[in-house]
Amino acid sequence: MTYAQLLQQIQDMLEYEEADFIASIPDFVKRAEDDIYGQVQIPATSTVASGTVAPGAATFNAPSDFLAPYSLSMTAVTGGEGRNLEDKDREFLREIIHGYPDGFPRFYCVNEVNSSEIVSIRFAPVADVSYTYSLLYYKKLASLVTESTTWLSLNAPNAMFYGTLIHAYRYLKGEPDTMAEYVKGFEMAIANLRILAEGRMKKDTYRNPNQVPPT
Amino acid sequence: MTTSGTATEAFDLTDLFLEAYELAGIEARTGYQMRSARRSFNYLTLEWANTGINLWTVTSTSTTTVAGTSTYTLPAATMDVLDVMVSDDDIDFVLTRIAGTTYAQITNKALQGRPNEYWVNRTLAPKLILWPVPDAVFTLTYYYVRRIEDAGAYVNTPDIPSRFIPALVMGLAYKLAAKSKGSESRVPVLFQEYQRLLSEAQAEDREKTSLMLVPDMGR
Repeated sequence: MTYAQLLQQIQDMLEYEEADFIASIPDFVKRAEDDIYGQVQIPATSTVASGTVAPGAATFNAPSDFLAPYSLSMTAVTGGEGRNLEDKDREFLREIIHGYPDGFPRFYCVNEVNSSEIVSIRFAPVADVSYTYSLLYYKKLASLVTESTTWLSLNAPNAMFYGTLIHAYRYLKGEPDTMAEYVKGFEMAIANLRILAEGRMKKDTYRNPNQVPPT
Repeated sequence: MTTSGTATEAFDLTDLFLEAYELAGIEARTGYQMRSARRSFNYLTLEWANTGINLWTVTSTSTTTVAGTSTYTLPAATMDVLDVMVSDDDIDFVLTRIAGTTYAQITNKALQGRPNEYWVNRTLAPKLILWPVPDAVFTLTYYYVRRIEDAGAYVNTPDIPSRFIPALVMGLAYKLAAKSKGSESRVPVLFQEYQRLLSEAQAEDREKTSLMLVPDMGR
């Protein structure tokens, strides 16, 4: 489903073409996307950032599209075995760090957001040598409003449609019983999307033979 | 395929606390959880001091007596005294331990000579009291059981030999589960497993020598 198709379907469904309403549909689409990303962990939203931290460093800046960490690993620039760091609260790092000599980082946390809205990642112990890091993270995706298609519009058109419809119908102060039907449609679409994104896309049949539909 | 060739893995307190939390079914994420684990560690080691002699805590030290002085302050971390000797002309004389009531019944406490008895006065700052009161400078050597060292910084390794680490971690897990809401159901299992591991470690923690019993023929 393209953005143009979604716009047309919303207008057709609600049979309302007032200019202010039409102008607000992009906002409804963005809100629907926020609702979906907030409820389903979609692999398409994860990406990797790599970089290097210098000896004595305890933080590095996450990319500007960073939303939340998925995992962080480090490897000494000189080589050797890489290590996944454990995600902890910032207070955990502050509590344990006293006395630790600089070394291979073991723990990390999302540290703080600076004035430019850039998130920094703090780790402990402080790096003793240069390390390359690999940060797998959830990123902010471009909205369908600015793209012709997105992963969501192609793979979860029902979720996009009902999600947008709910916000549009709320704008029109629609009937509660009709709204309930739209909500029900959205919930079913989210459930199906969750099966795909959090189930089938993360488990293969090697350990989960039930993944294969009966033949 | 090869083995690692090393047996030197040293677990710091952070490792041990995280393992204990996992056994308790808890993910340790906060600073307070670590502080709480450190407090439990210190309590646990105090409990172990009450279970008997932990061989790695047996320490010896020497000092010299002062003529006319019967009382000697023991090191602050002393839990108990095991053996006391005085050396006179490079010959060690083993002293006999007596109880406080026995010492109290000695009619002439000021008698001076080479000490042959001692009383451990277990006040908050424990003292070693010799009798007879030394009449000269002797080398005083004693073996004592010291407290297990405090946890200190999280980077520290515990003052506990590796053979006791499994019991330590399970004991910590039991304590952490007992004071963590939602993990109460694990307490009985953890306690049972802790007792098993501690018993095994304590059974192994002994002098492996022949026991010789010799009748006292009055010689």
